[in-house]
Amino acid sequence: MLDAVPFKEAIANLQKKNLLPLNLDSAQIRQLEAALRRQSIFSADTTITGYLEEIKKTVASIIEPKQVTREGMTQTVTDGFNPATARANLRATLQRFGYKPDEAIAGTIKDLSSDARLNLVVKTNTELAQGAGHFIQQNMDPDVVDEYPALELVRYEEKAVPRDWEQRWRLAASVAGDPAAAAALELNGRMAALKSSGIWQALGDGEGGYDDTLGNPFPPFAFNSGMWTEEVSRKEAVDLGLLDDDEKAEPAKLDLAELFA
Amino acid sequence: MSTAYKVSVTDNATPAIDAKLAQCSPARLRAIVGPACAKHVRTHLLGNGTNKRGWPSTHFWPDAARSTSWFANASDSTVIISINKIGVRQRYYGGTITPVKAKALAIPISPVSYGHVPADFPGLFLLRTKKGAYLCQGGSSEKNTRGRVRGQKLAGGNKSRRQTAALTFLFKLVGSVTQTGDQSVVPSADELMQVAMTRITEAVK
Repeated sequence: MLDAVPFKEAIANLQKKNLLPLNLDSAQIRQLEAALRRQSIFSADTTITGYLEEIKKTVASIIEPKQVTREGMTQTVTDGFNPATARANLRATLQRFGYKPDEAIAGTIKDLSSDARLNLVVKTNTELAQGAGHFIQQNMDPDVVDEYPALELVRYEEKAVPRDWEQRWRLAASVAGDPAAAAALELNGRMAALKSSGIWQALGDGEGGYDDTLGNPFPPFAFNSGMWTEEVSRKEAVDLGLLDDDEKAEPAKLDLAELFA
Repeated sequence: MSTAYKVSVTDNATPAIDAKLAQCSPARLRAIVGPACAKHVRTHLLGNGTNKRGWPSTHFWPDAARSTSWFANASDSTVIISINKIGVRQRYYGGTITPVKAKALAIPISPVSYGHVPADFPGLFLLRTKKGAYLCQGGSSEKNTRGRVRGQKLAGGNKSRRQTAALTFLFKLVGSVTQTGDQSVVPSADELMQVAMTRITEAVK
């Protein structure tokens, strides 16, 4: 087996992001422009720039682990953070910056050093970069778009209390004006739509009144969603009624330059 | 009677062959094969399931699936499927893990500590027994400096999995761990070849 090749689209997306210290809660952050959020590393009520920089470095290490040879060893080992060591590193960073939560919020999601908050920060930022990376791969090459004109929303992680993504799909299809996407679910039980459909942005915008979304037309769509997208071949897309056999396939309408340098 | 037939030969084949050849250009084949094989690898990774002990998942394999991408190497007309996730290589090859920054490895032995490192737990202490050394944590009735009972939310780890106990064994300390490799965690090369051929046959009609 070869050494892993870097997921360059995900790395480029992360590297392009600027640090955005904010003294805003999550509801206020949702009012910011989606493009600004897409191009920034931020976290609610997090004003320490050095901490945001460490989040960026930590996520970069998760996305791109390195094969290294350690002193006295002949075989290479994989070096980088896993979610547990990433959490410990960020907690130590907060301590270095003198962060101490108020007793009233200690241990809760509002406590920047709590397990729940650190998990959310690491997981969300890692998945955003990977989601953007896949989105770029899915849409940049016209041959890929032609061969795989559609995407399917699928569950990657089981949740104790799963959110109703089928209902979100119906609402998003309605807002996006995509009856073919709605029909793919109702007739075939699959949440599939063309890459060019507005349903992906509608899902990311939480159309229908959902306030847990991230504003992007790519996964994870919402905090801790456990959802991802997979490409659908032309033949499957035709079978699902998403396009005609000889119809030209179009990429997503988002400017990909927004996502990477 | 003599007769003659005039046969008109029109080259319909060359444009059709050219169209087929265009469908078989290296760039087009990479676009067909890359996404299909990457998707197959991701599906396989997701099928690896959760940990053997039945503890709540850390979502290791979904993380691995999200980190899987494909890379077209134009110079030698190859497609590489890459999994950029720490730990996958160890599961595939196996091998011995030794500590780098500490004197011992801390192996989680409780669902509370699974997916965590000792630094996540305040107030850990070392307990040596005949069976080895352990990192333990006192019960949940620990008091803070003002005498108030600290909530379990401040004890670290997976609080929902905690049981009321005077002492919780969280990690076993060991000098090294040797794991057996498992090549079935990723699809075989033959399997990927089959996926590639099936997709090419379907796409190049």
